[in-house]
Parts: sequence; structure tokens; C-alpha cells
Amino acid sequence: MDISMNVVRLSAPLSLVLLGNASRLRESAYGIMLRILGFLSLSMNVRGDDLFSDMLVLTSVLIGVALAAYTTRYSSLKYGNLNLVILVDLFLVAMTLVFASETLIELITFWLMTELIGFLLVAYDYIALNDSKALSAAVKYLLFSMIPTDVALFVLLALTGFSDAFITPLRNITPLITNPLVLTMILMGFFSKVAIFPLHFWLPDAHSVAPSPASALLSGLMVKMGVYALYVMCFYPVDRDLAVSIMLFSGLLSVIYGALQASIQHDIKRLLAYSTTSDTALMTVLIALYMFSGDKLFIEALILYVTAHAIYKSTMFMDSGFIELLTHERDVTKLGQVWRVSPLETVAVFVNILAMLGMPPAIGFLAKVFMFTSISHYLADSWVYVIVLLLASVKVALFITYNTVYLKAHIRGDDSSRELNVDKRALNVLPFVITSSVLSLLVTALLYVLDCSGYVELLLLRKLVPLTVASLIIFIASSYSLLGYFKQRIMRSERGRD
Amino acid sequence: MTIELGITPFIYLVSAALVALTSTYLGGKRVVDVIAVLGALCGFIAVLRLYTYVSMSGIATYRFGGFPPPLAVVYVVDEISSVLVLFTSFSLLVVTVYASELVESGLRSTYYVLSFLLATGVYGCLCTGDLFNFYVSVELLAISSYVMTGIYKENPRAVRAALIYGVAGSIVTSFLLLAVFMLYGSYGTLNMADISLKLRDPSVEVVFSGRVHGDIALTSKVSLALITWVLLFKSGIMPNHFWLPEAYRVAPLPVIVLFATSADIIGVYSFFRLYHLVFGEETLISEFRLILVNLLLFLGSASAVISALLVSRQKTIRGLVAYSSISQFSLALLGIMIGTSEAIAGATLHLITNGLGDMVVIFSVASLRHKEANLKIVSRLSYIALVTGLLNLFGVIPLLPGFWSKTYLTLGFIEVGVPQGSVVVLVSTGLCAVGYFKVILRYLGTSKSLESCSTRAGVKRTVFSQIVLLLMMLITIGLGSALLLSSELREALIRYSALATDVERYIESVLWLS
Repeated sequence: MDISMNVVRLSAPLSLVLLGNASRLRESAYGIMLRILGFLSLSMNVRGDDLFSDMLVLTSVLIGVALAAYTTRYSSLKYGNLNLVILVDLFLVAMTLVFASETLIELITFWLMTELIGFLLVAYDYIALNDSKALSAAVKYLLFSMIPTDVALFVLLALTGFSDAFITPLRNITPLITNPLVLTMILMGFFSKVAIFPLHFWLPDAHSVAPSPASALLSGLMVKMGVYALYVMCFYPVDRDLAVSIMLFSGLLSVIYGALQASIQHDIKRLLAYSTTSDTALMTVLIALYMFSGDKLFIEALILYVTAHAIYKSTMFMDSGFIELLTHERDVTKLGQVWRVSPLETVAVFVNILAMLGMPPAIGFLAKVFMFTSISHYLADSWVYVIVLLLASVKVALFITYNTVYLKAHIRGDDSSRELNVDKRALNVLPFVITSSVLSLLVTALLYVLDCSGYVELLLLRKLVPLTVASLIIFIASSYSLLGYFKQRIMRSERGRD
Repeated sequence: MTIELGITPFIYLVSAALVALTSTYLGGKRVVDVIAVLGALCGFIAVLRLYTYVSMSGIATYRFGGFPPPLAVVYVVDEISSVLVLFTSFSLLVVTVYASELVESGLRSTYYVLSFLLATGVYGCLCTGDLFNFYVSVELLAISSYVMTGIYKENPRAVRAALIYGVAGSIVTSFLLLAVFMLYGSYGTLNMADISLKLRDPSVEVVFSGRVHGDIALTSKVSLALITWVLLFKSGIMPNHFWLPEAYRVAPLPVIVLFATSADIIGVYSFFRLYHLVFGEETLISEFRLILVNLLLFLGSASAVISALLVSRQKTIRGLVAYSSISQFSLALLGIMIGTSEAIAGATLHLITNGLGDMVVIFSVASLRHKEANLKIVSRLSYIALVTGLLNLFGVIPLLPGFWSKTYLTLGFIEVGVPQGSVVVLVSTGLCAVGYFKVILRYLGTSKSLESCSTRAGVKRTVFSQIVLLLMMLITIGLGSALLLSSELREALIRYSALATDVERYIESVLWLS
């Protein structure tokens, strides 16, 4: 790619986003439109030679579009100003450029930038509201997520050598990772970003104290940087046995730990944060299985899973922000009346959870199908697959458990006696949560847009268009009837109160 | 023979004398300022010429009085020391310009005299090829440092810090003198190249200094251990760091900058000269040297991490700069002790980076302190400069030189097969970062709580200091971007340190070349 194209693909999104944040523009709809244009122009970074990075770039673009207006309204409702917006925007742009990096030095530059902005976002409540909890979470994030990853990146850069880091494409470099200690160090560094055992404990604090749009990005996309780095590691000459055993051990432990922790949380944001740990751990396991077997099916499952999870988690965090703005409460035991205020929001969240759980035609469905088929395919080969299959099933069961807990924040059977004390201004952000939720259904379409050559099974999926459309119609119809049911109940209870 | 090498100390000494004379007999304050700035500028120009000479044609030597080396004092500049000399003389120039606005008028001429004496000492330590001259330079620099620390003599804390520094410093430097005596007794010479030559091959006979006397291995071991202790004190590595935070807490801001950019880096640089050129690898005491190297690696790692821990707990900018400097000096020491070209390049760059970072941080905090007196744009610029300086110290952005020095250090560790070392580098970075970010966040929110960095006098005219601050910020970013964009510069650094560690070339150019 020639240099002018390189400059354009990096500078166009940045300048549009900055323009959209200019002091006069940022309060108007034009500012939001400019920023959305900026995010859309990020899709210039799609290069077509690696499906995983392209998919991540496009997912980031979609999340950015859904978040653009949400962030503006959230920031003005919660903080009374729009200073949060530019941070979140730059965070997203820098992160997308990480996924789109062509060389190691580009990756490291944007990675470190993302982390610095991430630090400011985690500490944002300290800056804006002087909340000391945010500062301690940010310090924890800095020490246990940033620094280990920086160690890994620096070591990787040192092993690669400068000339290769600047010129050779990211996947073709050959860092000489011969020392098992070095390999362990690099893996631990990326584990800290993925937030799995033994460096997982920073995540629940960091993700739950950050402002909701930031949590959506931290949890939806930033942890994927770690997954992406581990995926890139598959291309390098490393001691596969050691890498696989470390990844499987940490991954499987964290799958269960994260899911169990999520099931017993009462704070909705902490619940979501713990579930992220569990999901990213499962992604790590998929990468480990790919290294173990060399079958690309695992990577296909990984791509689908990462996309599904990114959209799911950012929508959930947007919803938790909505609940926070609406009720100023995050404890699930004190919530339960949201559906009365906005049945539409409840249905949107319901749709989102179902999409992740595996309702066709959502990408979560495909992810689940691919994951379980790929694991089952090798069951006879090694006991490792049996254990992974078992734990993945347990994880799905726990997924249902903690999502049920989360849904209790929206809807609870015995809530008719409770007083509704809500801030109706929060309804301003409602349309964008719904947009994001609908995205979880539509993101499957990306598979038809992107170049999937080399991924046979994904190409096969394209033949299923009629089936997809049919299931989409069924899905929409059932969601609509659910909405109708809610509205009916609200009317009935209001009549009862009269 | 390069005349610039010999004339620079005289420029500094003459400037010191001129400043003292003018302030006594003429009393004109502005004249003194002008003389001081001109003196620093002349010194900088001379050093710049020296640097271009060295970068083009390698090692430069200057014999005082024209006598051949073992007989008389010789000044030698190699690639590494030329870079450091350039940096220290540049920082003297910048700080002098800055001090002409910041130091109160009553103390200014004293300050100028002391800073020129300090610069002469630093220059001597970096360039001298003679151990006794090295001792004299260390004393010159140390005594002017003691006085500068206690320059606010009505402040009891300043007197206390100066006493701690002065008493401990005098005791420690007397060890250096003792080591010098012992070396002279057994080698019959104090020329570093001569000692190095004889330690590699005791049978050699040199004109004027003759042969060695007695057991040179034992003397060398004892002297090396003694000098190591002295240098640990000078560079503020734990556990010999106790004077440094005390001094940084009370000294005027320009003095802290001078310490961080010149006086304290000579300790680390002298480790390079001592462990790679004088008592190098292929000498009689290579086993003992290895033990000391390992000990220093351990001490350096511990010092880097512990002081970084303390950085994260600092409440004042002065404390932050003090402990962060200790941590960065320790990292640079690690680089020197590893001894590969990359590691030494990293260490050199790290000393410069730390100096630039401290300079920008201190200047910007001083100007943020006087926020109400300044325009809004000025205080914004100062804040941006502060963030740049701290990020440079943090060193994870490839646009800033801090990133590159840490990369070189990591590279050095990986090359010698000690990847754990890179963990030390980055863990201490991370712990320091906690302190840095606290400062960034504190100044972002409110800028009320700035008592910690108060100076005695207010900044009344801030034109120069703002320009200086901006310039330093641009230089920092420029150096970083140059490293990012130019592969030649990155390779040149490694080539420089490879050349500078060539002992045979050093001995040859000092002793044999006429």
C-alpha cells in the first residue's frame, strides 16, 4: 500500500472525529453526524487479507456508530458537559487502528495510545466527580493490565528487531521466541489484557467504574485486543505445546471462575464485567485449540464468537448505563421496574441476550454452532476436547443464570407495590440502545460483505440466505408479540390502580 | 588534538570569574545575566563543534600543555561522552536562560558562578582521561552542588539537606582519593588508558610511567570496589540515595534541573568508563569485575523497583522528580552493566531522556504555579508540556524518546539472555507511571494544590521561560519522532556505543597516537 493511502486511512477518521468534537459543532446533530462519518471512514482500514482483523475493524465501526449519539447524551445527562465524548471517540479510533495495523511498530504505537486513553476513561469519574474508587481502579488497571502487556510488546519488539518491525507485515515477522520463560512472559502479558487467570482481577473494578460508553468499549472491544494479539501469536514460531498448555489451563480456569462470579453479583456492571472474563477465556481456549489441532474451523468459530460478544457486551453496557441514568441504582435487588417505564428497552435487552444465547439468525447462533461442532469434531482425538466441551456447556448454563439475574433488573414478578422513582430524561438514550441491540441481529450480514475466501465453512453459510431471512422474520415477530404482552400488562395494572 | 576539548573548561571558568567580578564591581543585574548566558552559549558552541568532530572522525584527545599522556593530563572524548557532553552543556545553556528569570536577583550571581563551576566539574568528569583529574572534577562538582543545595541559607531544611549531602559526600569522595593513591602506588600512573593497558598486560612498559609495582590485581580490586561505592553515591542508586531526595526537596528549581541533567548523570557515565574502558572484561581482575557487575545488576534492579514504588506514593513534584530520577538512573546503570551495544545505547539515551523529561516537568510546573499571572493559552501550553514530559518519563509512546531508550534496554536484556531484566524495566516503569498519572490527573482537575513546588520568588516576566519550555517540549518530541522515523539514527546510536566500548582503540588513541 502506498504512503498516501496510508496517511488517508489513518488521518481521515481522526480528523473527522476531531472536527465533530470541535467546540461549536459537538452539541449539534451535525457534530454527531461528522463523528459517525469518521467512524464509517475507519472501514477504509479493511484490507481483505485477514478476516479476523477485518471483522474486528467493521465490528468496531458498527459499535462506534451505535455509541456516537449515546455517548453525547449520556455525558450531558450524567456529567453536565461533553468532555467524555472526545475521549471515548479517540479511544475507539485508536483501538480500531490497532486491529488494522500492518506492522508491529504500528500495532505497538496504537496499542499504547489506546491503553493511555483507556486509563483516563477508567479514571474519568475521579477527574469529573472526584470519586476515589475510580482512581484506585485505574491504578489497578495500570499496574496489572497495562504494564504486563507493555512487557510483552516490548519483548516482542526486541525479539523482532527494528528493521523487521518497521517493514515486514505483522503476520510475517519471525520473533525468535526460543526461551520458554520469554514465551510465558509474552503470554502472561496478553493474558492480562484478555483478563484471564492469573491477571484477571483488575477487570471487574475497571469496567464497572468507567462511564458506561467507556465500559461498552473496554468490555466489548478492548479485551479483544488481547485476543487479537494471541491470535497473531499463532503465526509465530513458538513452542506450541507449552503455549497450548498455558492457554488451556488459564483459559479453562477463568471460563468457570468468571461465569460463577458473574452469577453471584448484584451490581449489574460488575456482573457484566465478570461475564467478560468468562467469555474472553473461552476465546483463548479456542485459540489454544487452533494451535493444538491446526484446524481453521476454530478460528472461524473464534471470529464469529468475538463479533457476537462485542456487540452483545457493548449493548449490555449501554443498557446498564441507561438503567443507571434512569434509576441512579445499579443493585439488581433494588431494581426490577424498568420494564414499566420502557417496555421497548426490556424487549431490546431480551433480544440481545437471546441473540448471544443462540437464536438464529443472530451471529451468536452461528458462533455457538461453529464452536460446538468444531470441538465435537475432535472429541475422539484427545481428552482435552472432552473437557473443553464439558466446560463450554457449563459456561452456557451459567450464561443463562447470570443473564436471568441481569434481567431481574428489568423485570421482576412482585414489583407492583414498589414506588417508581425514575429520571425520565434517561429515555433520551433509549433509541441508541435499541439500535445497538438490533445490530446484534444484523451483524450476520457482515459475513456476506467481507471476503471470506479461505474459510470454507463460512462461505457455505452464504447459501443459507432464505433460511436466515425466515428466521429473522420469526424472531422479529416473537419480539413484537413480547412487546405487545408487556404493554398489555402495563395497561392492566394501571387500570387496576385506578 | 582538538582545541575545543581543552578550551571549554576555560570558557566556563572564565565565565564564572567574569560573573563574580561584574556583580561585585558593576552591580548591574542585566549585565550579569547577559554575561552568564553568553558564557553558556560559547561553551555550548564549542561543545557542538567538538561533537561534530567526534561524530565525523572518531575519538578526540587534548593534551594539556602538549605533554605526552602518561606525563600530563589528557582529555578524551569518545562517541558516548560527546553525546552526553553536548546534552549537559545544552542543559546548562537552557537552565541559565531560565534562571535569569526564575532565581531571585540577590542570589542570581552566586547561582551563576556555582553553575559554571558545576559545569566545569561535569565536563571534567565526562572527558578526563586521568584519575586524579577525575577526582578533582568530582570534588569541584560536589562542592558546588553542596553550596547550591543550601543556597537558601535562611531555610533550616536547606541547611540540613546541604549538611547531609556535604558531610556524606566529603566522606565518600575521600574514598575516591584513597583509591587514587593506591592505584598510583602500584601502577606509577593515573592515566586511565595506561592503567587499562597494564591491567591487560602487566609486563608492558610505558615511557614515563615505567612498569607496575607489586600485586596490581589486589590493588585494582580494592580500588574498583571503593570507586564503585563512590559512584553509587554520586548517581544516587539505592542504598546510597539518601542525599538526593533531600537535596531535590529544597534546592531552587533550576538547580534540580542541573542536577538531573548533568551533575547526577556523571555517576552512571563513570560506571561505563570504569567498567568497560579501565577495568574492562579482558583484564586480570575479570572474575572480580563479574562479581561486582552482578552485584550492581542486583542493586540496580532493586533500586529501580523500590524507588519506583516510592514514586507512586509521592505527594510533591519535587519528591516525584527525585525518586523518578533515582529509578531512571538505576535503569541506566543496568544498561551499562549489561554491556552490549544496544544496552549502552539505551542507557545513554535513557540518561538524556530522563534529563529532558525532568526539565520539561519542572519548567511546566513552575509556570503552572503562576497560572493566575499568565494567559489562558500559556497555562494550557504548560499543561500540554507537563503531560508530554511525564509521558516521556513513562516512555510508552514511540513519538517520545523514552519509548526508545526502554526498547534499547529491553533489547539489551534479551540479547544477553536475561529476559527477567526487561520485567524490571517495565515494572518500575509501571510503578512510576502511577505517580506520573496522579500528577496529570491532579493538574487536570484543579490547579490549586500547587504549594509543593513553590519557589521563593514569583515569576514576573515569563516570556523567556515560556519560550524555553516550548522549545524543550518540541525538542523532546522532535528527538522521539526522529528516532521513530529515521532508521539511520537508531543504528547510529548502536554504532556509537559499539565504538565507544572498543578498549584497544581507546588506549591507542590516548597513548600511542602523536
